[in-house]
Amino acid sequence: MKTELFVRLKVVDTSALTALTAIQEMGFTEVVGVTRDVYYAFESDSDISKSLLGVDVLVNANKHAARFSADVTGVGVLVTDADDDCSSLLHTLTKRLGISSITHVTRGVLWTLRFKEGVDRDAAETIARGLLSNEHYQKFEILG
Amino acid sequence: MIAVLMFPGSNCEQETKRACEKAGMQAEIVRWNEVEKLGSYSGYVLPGGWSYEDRIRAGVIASKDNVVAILKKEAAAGKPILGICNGCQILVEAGLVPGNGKLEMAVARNENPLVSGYYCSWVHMKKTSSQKGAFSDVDDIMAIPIAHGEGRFVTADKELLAALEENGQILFRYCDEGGEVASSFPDNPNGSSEAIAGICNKEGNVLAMMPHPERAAWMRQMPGEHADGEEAGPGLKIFTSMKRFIDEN
Repeated sequence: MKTELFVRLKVVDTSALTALTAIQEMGFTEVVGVTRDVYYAFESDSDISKSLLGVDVLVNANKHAARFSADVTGVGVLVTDADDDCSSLLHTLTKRLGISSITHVTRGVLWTLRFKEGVDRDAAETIARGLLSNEHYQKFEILG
Repeated sequence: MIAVLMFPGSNCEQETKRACEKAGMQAEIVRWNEVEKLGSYSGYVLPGGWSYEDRIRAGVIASKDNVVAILKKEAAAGKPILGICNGCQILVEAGLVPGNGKLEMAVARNENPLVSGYYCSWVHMKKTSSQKGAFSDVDDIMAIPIAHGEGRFVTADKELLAALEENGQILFRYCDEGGEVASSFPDNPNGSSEAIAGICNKEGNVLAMMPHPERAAWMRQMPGEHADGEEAGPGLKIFTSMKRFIDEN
């Protein structure tokens, strides 16, 4: 089964604020907000959701809020590294932390762009290509 | 006068300035927002560090700064520009290297069997191009330190690397102590394609390199014991080459 986990800072996310400033300076002034979630997708033989929230290598409850579904209010841009096999994280989760039913991990960043009015998927795609991802080692997917 | 460009998060500007001075150039540290004076310099060095805390990915935010548009203009005018480590990442993200003005490569996360993320070590590199440019006065195998988490030159363009080779743009490659081009870790410390350590533009006046020549510019910085620590280290040749280029042009 597949489990997706979205981890967001509870405190001010300066990376998201920097991204917003850069996007607006690129001329996309209709973008008025950016949020950032660290994204994980797990393939496993059983339900691992409770176990995932209990290991602080992924979620530190003091500073993170975690969800099992995307909260895309606007347009989401999910960026993943094309050649990141997450082997180190998989080893940590399965061997050190005992969540042995995990068979595969994908990791990335979900940027959510909030527009002044409505949504503009074309603008989001341009921003994804020009700023949020580098096509030479990353791939992106537009959500929402 | 050389401008050592400091972005928010740069942290090698002082030693880079000192290396420029050791090579006989005058240098001063210029902030990223002092754009009005930038055109007056005869060359530019983008030092290492974590510009904008590597937010989004290393170098990308700085590559969008107004100052980079000026660098593009000065590069086109033939002035020398050296990007070291984070400066290298900025130049690649800005499309100044390899140099067609568009994003042709990435400096991606290291592939390293020992550690994931940041890795620092002494490595060797050597010149693998006969191109005569601003940074080409380096004939020896050079011991030089690296310190980065994202230093792996990669491209999705299958024909680009061959073109760079043909143009003589792959100026430096990682190698072993004897000069054999690195085929794997640890000689190639980050999994860089073709063991690339530094790439220049077609004209040879812009160089993006991940190793730190300013940390090998005095013998006292080099491993081992040395009779005179104030003697020039191998990394200084990058800066003396830049000086020669400025003097000739």
